[in-house]
Amino acid sequence: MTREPSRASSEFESFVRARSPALIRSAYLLTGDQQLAEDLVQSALARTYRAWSRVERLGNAEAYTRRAMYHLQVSFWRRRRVREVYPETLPEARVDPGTADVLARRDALRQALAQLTNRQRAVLVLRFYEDRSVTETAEILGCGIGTVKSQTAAALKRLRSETFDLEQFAERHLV
Amino acid sequence: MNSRLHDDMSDLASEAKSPDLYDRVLATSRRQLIRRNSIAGLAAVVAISGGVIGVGAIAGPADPGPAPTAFEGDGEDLRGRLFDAFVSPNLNVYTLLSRTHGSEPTEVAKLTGVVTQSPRLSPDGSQLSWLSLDEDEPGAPHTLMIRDLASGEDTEITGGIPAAATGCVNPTWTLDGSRLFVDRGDDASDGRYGFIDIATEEFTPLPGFRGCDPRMAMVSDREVVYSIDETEVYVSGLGDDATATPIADALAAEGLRADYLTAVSNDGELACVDTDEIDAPDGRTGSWDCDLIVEIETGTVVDLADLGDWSANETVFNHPAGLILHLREKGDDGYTIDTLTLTGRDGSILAEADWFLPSDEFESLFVGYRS
Repeated sequence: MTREPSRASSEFESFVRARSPALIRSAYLLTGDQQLAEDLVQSALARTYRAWSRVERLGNAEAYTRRAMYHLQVSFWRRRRVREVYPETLPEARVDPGTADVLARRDALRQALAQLTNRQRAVLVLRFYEDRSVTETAEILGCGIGTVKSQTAAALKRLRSETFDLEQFAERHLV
Repeated sequence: MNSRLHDDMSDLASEAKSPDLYDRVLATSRRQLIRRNSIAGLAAVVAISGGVIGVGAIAGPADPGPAPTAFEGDGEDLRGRLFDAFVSPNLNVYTLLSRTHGSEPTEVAKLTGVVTQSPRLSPDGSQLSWLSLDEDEPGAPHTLMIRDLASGEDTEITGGIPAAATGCVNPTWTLDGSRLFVDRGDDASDGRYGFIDIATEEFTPLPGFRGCDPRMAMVSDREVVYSIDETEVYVSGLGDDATATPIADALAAEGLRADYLTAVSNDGELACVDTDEIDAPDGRTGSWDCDLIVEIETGTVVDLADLGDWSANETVFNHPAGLILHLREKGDDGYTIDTLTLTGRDGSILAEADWFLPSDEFESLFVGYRS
């Protein structure tokens, strides 16, 4: 016997299918790893599923999921570190200079983000990728506005001092 | 610049693939529900049976052999008091729970995560330390707090811990639970690293200390502190400079490098270290914090072949029969499973507890064990 899917289940399914791509993109920036990003979104969605009747009633399913996702990633008590493996050398394929510029800049940003703490990374993703205000970012991360500002400043400072040069990178000759 | 950063991040994010997660999410929820019910069922069985038998004892004669069972007996078990902690979403509250086999978990402390950092349970499970932050002044010194878990009374230790000093050396309990090892920052006039007596607040400097991740041990009736600086594991004691252990050289010979000192046994014989070279099972690039058990005196890696391709989230050495690993493994269905495993010093598996998070909201982390 096949059980008919409930209305709530089918609405949750629609929500997952519609919002997973965007959630995974944010999670990818947070973790720097496809598998970890999927795990992170999966864990956050599992929590949303259990609270579905409540969050659906309140109309804040995506906000709830994102909040769970960011809290999972920056939980202050969990020294869970994410590492990324980079090739020792870049492949020597001949590429169009324009394409090479994009790829090199992407790789530089990836490596620069990896130097940040989970909280700094979360603040940058919320502020500059998701274009959230300071207040919204503080609300999602469950911290004060002052913390968001100080973490943003620290993250940008560190980003500038690492391999990713925000202003000058585009001027470099890459091939 | 912000627009450029947005564009760059969008470009990087475009690399991410978007698999269909719906079935995986449902399976995760179902698995957690099943596991929660299993633990509740086990608790009921044990209570009815007088609290001394495990699931192995109630299995029928046709059941397969002596596979490790949750909370089995003979002294090589996990029947002491387990402590685990979790953070609830949205509220960011740190909750410490304790449980014994066959009992419901008991909440023993709850801290507000927004202003709390680095909670640490004392070795005997009677006290909890943490750093209290001033949310409005992120750069202000943190206040070292201690809660007596029996009375619920909080004590503030005079003298702040500089915000910049945390992260590498977090306040760490001595084995007897009488002092905390702290980093008081460069500006401390009577020494940067050392022990604070929680009863008298007397500070005893340990000038020879170097590195991060302090771990306490008693070696030949002498209190020592192990630590890691880059890849080198050091040991230091009162009146001594830090001395390098053979661990880094021994691991280097195997092509390995330790970068985090996860735990050290109370007698200073074994350590658990994290390495960059070993990934979590299934080739994931993320890694948990404990990849190798090594003999400190020789740097030899202890063979834990019985565990297969393992990587632990946390390790506790103070079980009389061996060490307890909080393992996170990939199940046959591809999903992760948390297990506590009691492993003898010969690498054999003595007991396993397929323990489960008491919360619907967050996964909990094993933080302590008391016999």
